Amino acid sequence: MASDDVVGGKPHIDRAVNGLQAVRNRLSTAISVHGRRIVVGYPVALLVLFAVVPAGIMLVTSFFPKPSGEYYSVGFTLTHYQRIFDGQALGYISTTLFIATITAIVCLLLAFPMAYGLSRFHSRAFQRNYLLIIIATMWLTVIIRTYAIQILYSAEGIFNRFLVGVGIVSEPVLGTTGLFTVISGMVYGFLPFALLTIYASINEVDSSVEEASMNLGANRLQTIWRVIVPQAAQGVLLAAGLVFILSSGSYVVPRLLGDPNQWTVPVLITQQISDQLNVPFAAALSIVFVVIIDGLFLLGYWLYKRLVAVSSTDPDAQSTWSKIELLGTNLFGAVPDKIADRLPVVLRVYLWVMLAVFVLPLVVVVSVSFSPSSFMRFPPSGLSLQWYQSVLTSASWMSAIGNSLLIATCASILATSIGASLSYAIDRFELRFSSQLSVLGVLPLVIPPVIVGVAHMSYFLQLGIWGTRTGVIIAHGVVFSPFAFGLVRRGLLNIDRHLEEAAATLGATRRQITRTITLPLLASSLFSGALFSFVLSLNEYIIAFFLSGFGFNTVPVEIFASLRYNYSPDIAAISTLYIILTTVVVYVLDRRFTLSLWD
Amino acid sequence: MAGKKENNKQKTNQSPKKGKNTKLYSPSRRRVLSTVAAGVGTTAFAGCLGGGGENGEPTASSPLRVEFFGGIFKEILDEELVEPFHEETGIPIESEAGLSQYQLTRLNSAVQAGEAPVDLFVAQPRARMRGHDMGLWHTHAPSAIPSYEDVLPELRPETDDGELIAVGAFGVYESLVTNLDVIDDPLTSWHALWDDQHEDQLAMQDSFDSHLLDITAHIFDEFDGRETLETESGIMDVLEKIQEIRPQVTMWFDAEAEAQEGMETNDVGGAKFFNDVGVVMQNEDEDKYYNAVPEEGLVENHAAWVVPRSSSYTDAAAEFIEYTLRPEVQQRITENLFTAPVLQDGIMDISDELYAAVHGPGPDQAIRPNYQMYIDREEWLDEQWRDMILP
Repeated sequence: MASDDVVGGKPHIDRAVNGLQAVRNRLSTAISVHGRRIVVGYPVALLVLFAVVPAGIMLVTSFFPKPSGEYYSVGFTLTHYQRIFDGQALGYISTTLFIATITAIVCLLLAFPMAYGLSRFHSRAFQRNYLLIIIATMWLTVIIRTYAIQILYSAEGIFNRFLVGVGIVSEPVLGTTGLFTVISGMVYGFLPFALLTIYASINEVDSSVEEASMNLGANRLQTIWRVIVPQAAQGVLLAAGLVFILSSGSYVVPRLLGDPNQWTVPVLITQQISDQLNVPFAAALSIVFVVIIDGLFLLGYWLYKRLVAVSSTDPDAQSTWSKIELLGTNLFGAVPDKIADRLPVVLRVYLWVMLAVFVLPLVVVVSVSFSPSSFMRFPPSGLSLQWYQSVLTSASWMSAIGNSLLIATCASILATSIGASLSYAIDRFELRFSSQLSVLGVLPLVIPPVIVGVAHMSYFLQLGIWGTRTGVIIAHGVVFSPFAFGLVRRGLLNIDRHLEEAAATLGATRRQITRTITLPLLASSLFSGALFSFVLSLNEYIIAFFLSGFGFNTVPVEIFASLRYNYSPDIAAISTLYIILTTVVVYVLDRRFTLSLWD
Repeated sequence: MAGKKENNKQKTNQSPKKGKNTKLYSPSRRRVLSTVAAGVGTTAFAGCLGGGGENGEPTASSPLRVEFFGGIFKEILDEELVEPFHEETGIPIESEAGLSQYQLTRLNSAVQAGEAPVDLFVAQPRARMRGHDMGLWHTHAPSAIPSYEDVLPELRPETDDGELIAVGAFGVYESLVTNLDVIDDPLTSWHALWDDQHEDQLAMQDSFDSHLLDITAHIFDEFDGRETLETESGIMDVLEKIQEIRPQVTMWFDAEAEAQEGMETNDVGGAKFFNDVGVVMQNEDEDKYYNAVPEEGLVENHAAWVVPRSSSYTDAAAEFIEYTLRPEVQQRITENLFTAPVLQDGIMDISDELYAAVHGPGPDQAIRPNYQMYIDREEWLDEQWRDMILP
């Protein structure tokens, strides 16, 4: 692809490129047939078996009849689909799309300046520590995260007391449930994903181009608009898509922080299964929901491609994009230089404010974990280690911690191996169905977790792995493999192929090349993929709930169950242990990779 | 009545078995498709395959496992029921907090897989009846639980063959709890839910089977109690009346702990709770909480012991249930848990004060929910509830 641009009618370059191409071809043919089959077959088999087949079962189940008051049976009916399009399910779908869209927009607006400020105005050490703290918030189990928000937003919480105290409002305005609270919970949970994705994109933009832009008279805001945004656009859109999909599939946040009019489709699906035992309707709803979500995702991608295509083929054309670009340029150009030049200071302050916002729930959770009372209160009335003692001496909590760590570790290895081998196969083998394989690679991500849980329940039962750790590991491993797939694919694209080709020319075998060149260059991508999968698996509730059966619990399942009885500080204690443990692990591994993780 | 109904439903659940046994004689497309569908059907949660608990003896490494609500419930039942049972019978037993009654889909999968998550647990009427409809429960010969005759008749449902489907564990009335930090005058009547001076102060359960329908049909003169809830038009009238509660509701909750937490943080001023929870809340902090037996009566509710049919220890489970029916055991549970005993009048010697605390004006004055209606009309009712009641 790159070679086409270089050739440009120059015979000697043409010959050189052809020569390199020949080397590359030899390299490809040197790969043993079996090796290729394994590299391609392993991820494809797992994805087909544990993503496509369960989705097929779900589809079939959606046509089974379920008379009111009875359980469902084998048969064929379109009633469930009719009910979706006739009734209130459409309201849940629009609520879900609304909340996911708002969350994605808010995350982008907050994350972009964070990522830019971090990338451009701070040292590498600061960047690493900052991201480490943000990552630490991701370790906060989503359920306890929602609880921390409820404490902060309660009638007598610090936000309401502050707002009333300074006279901005006369009575508490923030509530423990409601639209604002749901969006807050979503943003708090998914902003780190947007930040990391955008940060990686901005880091790749050559800062000398920015300097050139400013030397040519553009102010800093115009430079960001014309230089950074276009080059980081793909990363920004990826972040938006990621947040949109994660938000639309979220169950815990709308369930715990939402009023009934903020309940999303995953909440309705879960209620239909748990309360109504109406699995066929839940299956039909899942199918419709996935089609809508993925349709919108593809529509967004198509629009982006179209915009890029128009602006690249004819930069002067008065396309929609060029109009937007011009409008932005004029708008930012109107900002006086004095103000625009203060952007670094503003962004530094902004980063600290955002850090404080992110850390506050952590402070709440850690403080509450030392509370001497049996209720989770902030600030606590004293200091006690009783909840740590309670957790560390509790067989069920220790068992849940062990299960969660085991499942997250194995699932992250599985997810990384699936994602890495598939991306490697697509990147390095000339496969006829590479675009279809790419779709397969991201497929698990576009199916909301609750649907995965339901779809796998019956399937795993038949396979004899329902209610086992193996079942949850497989489900998590497959579901979170798109993160490793995307990150490794990106890593492979960034590798300078000349290095491998040079090594091949010098006689290195394929295995040697992989070991000494490819893998070291891919290490941070592999590690990032594994880390993402690990975090997600560790905090995942709904899949584990449906698949763990009754034999064992993970920490999120244990916490959710215990919340039915009371809000005890031992939940805060276990969350604090989680944060400490995993932050240390990330820190140590990060030093091992000498900061390359964040690239 | 319930037993008969449940028995009829059980027969309808046999169809998936046929699906599994379907044989392919010729690979015609239609037949392959139908067989695949049938196979998926059997895979997909049908409730009549496998299971069938063998009757073994619990051992120290594989004890009888009993499940009930967690928190204070479990602490008291461990002390007053589980430990004394083990001491007296020597049967190894372990208890756990669990929510199996709310997870019938998962339980169904477990039973299909021949697993018993627990050997017995307490289930409220709707879960107990639905579980029986799905064929999830082991049924006991009456001789296995001789004291069953002492139990209130409505708390020992039977099959047509006279087998016991479940046996009452305890009664759990529902009462009104006021957070005095938010509402000065305690709520003492169900009519308070309609009082607009409590705007944005109350918490209500978000599910249609929270018994608000029964309360409303019972306390307003324009309705005829349970009879009104027999028809869709009657239910619609009651739902319209319940709509008037909406302005007072600041929180729609799933688990009681959510509402309790809202009361702790003063976000909630009042809610309907299980009476035993209300009594404990009031006993722990009288200045903050007031648990009222509403003038119109408590809402009657109860939990019964059920045994998954995949349990390996059905005999030991029956022995445990028999133990719970001893008057002195019922007495201990009542005194400590403030739940209502399940034995008929005259069998226990209970003080007037304790009787008033757990029964209020007594079972005759209680509001009795129409459980079967919640099952028969669940899909329709769920939709109406979401449309008309939930915000």
